[in-house]
Amino acid sequence: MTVLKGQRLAIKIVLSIFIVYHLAAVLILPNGSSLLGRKLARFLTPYANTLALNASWIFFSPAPTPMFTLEYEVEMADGTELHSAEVGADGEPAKFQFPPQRKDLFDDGYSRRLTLVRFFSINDERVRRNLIPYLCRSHPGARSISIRPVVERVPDLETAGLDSNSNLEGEKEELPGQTFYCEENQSGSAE
Amino acid sequence: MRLLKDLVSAWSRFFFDPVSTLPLGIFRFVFGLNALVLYSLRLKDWRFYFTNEGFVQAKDASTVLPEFFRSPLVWVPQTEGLTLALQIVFIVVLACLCAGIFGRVVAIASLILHIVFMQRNYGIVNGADIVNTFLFFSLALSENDRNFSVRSLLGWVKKPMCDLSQMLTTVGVRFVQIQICIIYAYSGLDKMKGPTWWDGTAIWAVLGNRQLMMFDSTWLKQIPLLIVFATFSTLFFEIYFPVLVWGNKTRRWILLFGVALHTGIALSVNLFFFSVVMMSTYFVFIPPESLEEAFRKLKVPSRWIGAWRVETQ
Repeated sequence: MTVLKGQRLAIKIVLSIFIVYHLAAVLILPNGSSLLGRKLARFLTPYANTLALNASWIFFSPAPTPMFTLEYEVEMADGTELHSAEVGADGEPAKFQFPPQRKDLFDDGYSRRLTLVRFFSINDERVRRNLIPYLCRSHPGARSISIRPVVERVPDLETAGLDSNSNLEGEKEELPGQTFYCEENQSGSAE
Repeated sequence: MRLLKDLVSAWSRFFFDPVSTLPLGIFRFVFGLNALVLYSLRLKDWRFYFTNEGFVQAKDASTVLPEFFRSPLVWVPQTEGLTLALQIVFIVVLACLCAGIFGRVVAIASLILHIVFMQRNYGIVNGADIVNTFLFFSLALSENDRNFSVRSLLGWVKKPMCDLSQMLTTVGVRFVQIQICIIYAYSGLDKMKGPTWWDGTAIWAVLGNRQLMMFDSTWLKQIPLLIVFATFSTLFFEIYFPVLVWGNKTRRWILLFGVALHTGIALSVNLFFFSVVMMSTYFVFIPPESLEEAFRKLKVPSRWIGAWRVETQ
């Protein structure tokens, strides 16, 4: 269908307005906390959020994130502690952790689980509403779950480079833990 | 006044003049194939990701995201049967997108289904998923199946595009190009906030991360200058890509560097699909003559390539 010149101009004008609006959304919203972002967000976010175009491009920035694991302990209804079937390096039962250790060289599921545990662990509401109920369902009969995020930072290059014979061990930091009860249909925090 | 006329003219040429659809077709094929494999692999854990057996209950899906990112329109499948059915439909649609069957329609369907599953569980959304959203959107605007497609192979591409379709196709191509520039620019400039990027050791934090790396690369600590070079060249590439990719003399080199960078990432870091999706967008920057010449040397059937010269009314 070949349109008349006037119609072609009209199409260009309409498309240009759309292009300007779209480019404003994808240029401004990645820096949504800026003054421009705060002022224009209410005009741009309905469009961008509907089409899932509201994203911040922070790949390994401002620094690559350290390793993150969620360790947890399970107390059963009879007061005993449930142990993992896996055995740690010290011969004792390994702690429960999420995500579980990666088994294959290439494991898309592992990286998605890593993303998942980070996303849910950093927000108390998500921990209570989503993470804990999932862990309780994963261990039927559990009375409470005690979680402890563990962050392991890669030692800086100079420190790591000085000792060429040792295995690379990161600086592990256990963040404050919390205990939650596995009540039916809801979980409350014990502390 | 003259300046305004020149700007309007340049804007019109950039966004609305016809472009060859060969680079777009190849991008569609590679991008579609990557998405097909990625989301087929995701299907393996569908119960954990997308049903009430997993982390996120269907009733909570819309509230998981912070308010700034929440969509005014949220719909997620509520039953396991519908969830599985939609995922299978998504895979079929991606196969059609890759093959170049009903290009625009399947791209729109892909975008919708992709958003549905992102909304269902935002916790598993990674970099590749986010980039894919933008690219599905761009493909949804464009007539992306005129080249390197089942449609071209069967000789179904006969008529030139109508004006509206042609303009939308050009807009779609430009959106891919501009979006990649935005991604690299933001990513590179944000890195400048980090002291380890300034002191040249940031890449070491990736190499030493057992969760990210597919195999042990810590022996590279014996070659610190290599790590410094990798860190600064990554910064240079990301920050200057949006400028250098538009220059005829610099485009080849910046794209080649990008291929080297992302290939290295794909082979060592658990970010294979993200690397491939970024590299797939490079095709829209390559002149169609170069692509046609390369395909001729590889003896790719011309019917598969399709008509690639820019069509004018």
